[in-house]
Amino acid sequence: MISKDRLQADILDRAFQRMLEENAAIADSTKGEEGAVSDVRPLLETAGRARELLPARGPSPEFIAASEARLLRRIKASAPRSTKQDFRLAGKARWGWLRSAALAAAITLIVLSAAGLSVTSASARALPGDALYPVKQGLEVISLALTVSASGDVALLADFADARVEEIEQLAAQNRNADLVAGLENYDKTLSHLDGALDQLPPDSIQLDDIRARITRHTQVLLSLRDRLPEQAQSALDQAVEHSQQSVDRIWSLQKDQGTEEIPPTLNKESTTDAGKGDDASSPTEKKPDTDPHTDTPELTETSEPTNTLEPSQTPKASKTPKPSKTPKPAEPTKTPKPAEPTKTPKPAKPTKTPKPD
Amino acid sequence: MTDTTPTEQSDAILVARAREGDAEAFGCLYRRYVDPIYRYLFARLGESKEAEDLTEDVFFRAFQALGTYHERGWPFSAFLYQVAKNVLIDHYRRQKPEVGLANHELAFDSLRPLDERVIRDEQMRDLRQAMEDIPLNYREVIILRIILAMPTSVVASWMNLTEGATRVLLHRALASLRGKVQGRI
Repeated sequence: MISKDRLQADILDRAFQRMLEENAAIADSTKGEEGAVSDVRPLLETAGRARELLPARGPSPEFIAASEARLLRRIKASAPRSTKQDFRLAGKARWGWLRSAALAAAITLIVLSAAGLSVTSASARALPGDALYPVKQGLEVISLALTVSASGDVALLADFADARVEEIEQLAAQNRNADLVAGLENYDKTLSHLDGALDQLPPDSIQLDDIRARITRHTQVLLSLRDRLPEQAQSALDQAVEHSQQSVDRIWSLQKDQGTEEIPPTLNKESTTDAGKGDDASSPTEKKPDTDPHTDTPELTETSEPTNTLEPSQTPKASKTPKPSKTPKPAEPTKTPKPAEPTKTPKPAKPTKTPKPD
Repeated sequence: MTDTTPTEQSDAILVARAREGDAEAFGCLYRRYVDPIYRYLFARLGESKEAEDLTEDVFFRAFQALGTYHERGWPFSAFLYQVAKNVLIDHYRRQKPEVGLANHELAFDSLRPLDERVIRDEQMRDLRQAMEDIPLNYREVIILRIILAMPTSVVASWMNLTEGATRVLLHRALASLRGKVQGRI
């Protein structure tokens, strides 16, 4: 039994296709259709008016040529980082996670044989500026390389972001002002990686709520430190706070962007955004069978207009003190090895922002 | 060694080559998909300069994220669309308040008589406002299927829906839009 709703949807689609292909008038486009054609015609009228009033516009040939040349220059400039040195993401893509895991295991062995288990364990407590801190970072990137899904990456990167905030608190408590800036920059970079990993999650992932809450807490912690930090760290603190607030906004936007109210889960395919991101991620090819799509219709309940519950403006925004004049951040000063930066290709056009992975 | 020229190669082959750092392969992908991505961004932004800037960003970010893309039945164009949506989110975050369709450039104004232009401008404003007022996935399906005239199968793959669900979504989206603009366009 085909519902009226579904029947009309099918007629509408066929008739609209005829309007496109045959330049058919509305009356002609529905010829031969049986059913509630009279209900479909007003919608075809609206579709036709929308096409008239909001015409599609393609790119100019000049733009295409110039943009391609610029794009290829950017790609060539970034290729050494994004395709050769990034063993985590590109490595996963090229060789699969097994090869990444093998590489990670090899590095682990080297670290363990060189430093010993006790040193490795001690590195967990290391802070920026400590001799063992690079070992801690190395172990983090290894654990990241061993994850096989986008959600695993997100969970791990969120833990790393928590760790960066704890490090900042400890550095502040110990008055290690020189290392504080590095600590804040580390947080900023970790958050960039987390932003990129979040892009790979389905917008309805329950992880997003958790991550949003954790980053909101980061903002609060960082702001609580403001008065205790020296002048030299204020700029880095502002950057970190701003980034954390933007990340929270971004998660709101991702969740709002989903707008799943009208399509029930039974009609949504497996998550696209997670597809192919990890070996255990849902593949788009595993979409739900559409054997009898018409039976889906009763589940398509019309809902009210989208609520504002996910508005970014509702993100808790801590008040900010006037910022000291911000100097553009140099592109990734690498005082210590920064292993957990798979896609930190610099964005030339935005020197003040930490490059974000996608 | 392949016998085909880059422009004839499948997306999967070009993506694989691009992952190895072959910029020319990515250039082929760019030429293949710059048109629909630009059109989509223009439809969302209504401003050609912004659409141009963001189009370039989309492809650059897509290149950077190639390592995370596994085909497995998910078209490369759908991947680009996902990146484009993320780029738009970032763009809107930077550009508050969101203007979007409300600033749509007029493509045909100068060729029409003044009174007709005034009426048409009014209708365009009403339509743009209505598009802003309907749920985002309604707006997306109208832009992709109606404004850009993309086949339902492609819209379905881009929006990660079945074709049946896409048709139903379009039906509801148009009904919702019609309700908003009833008698005004």
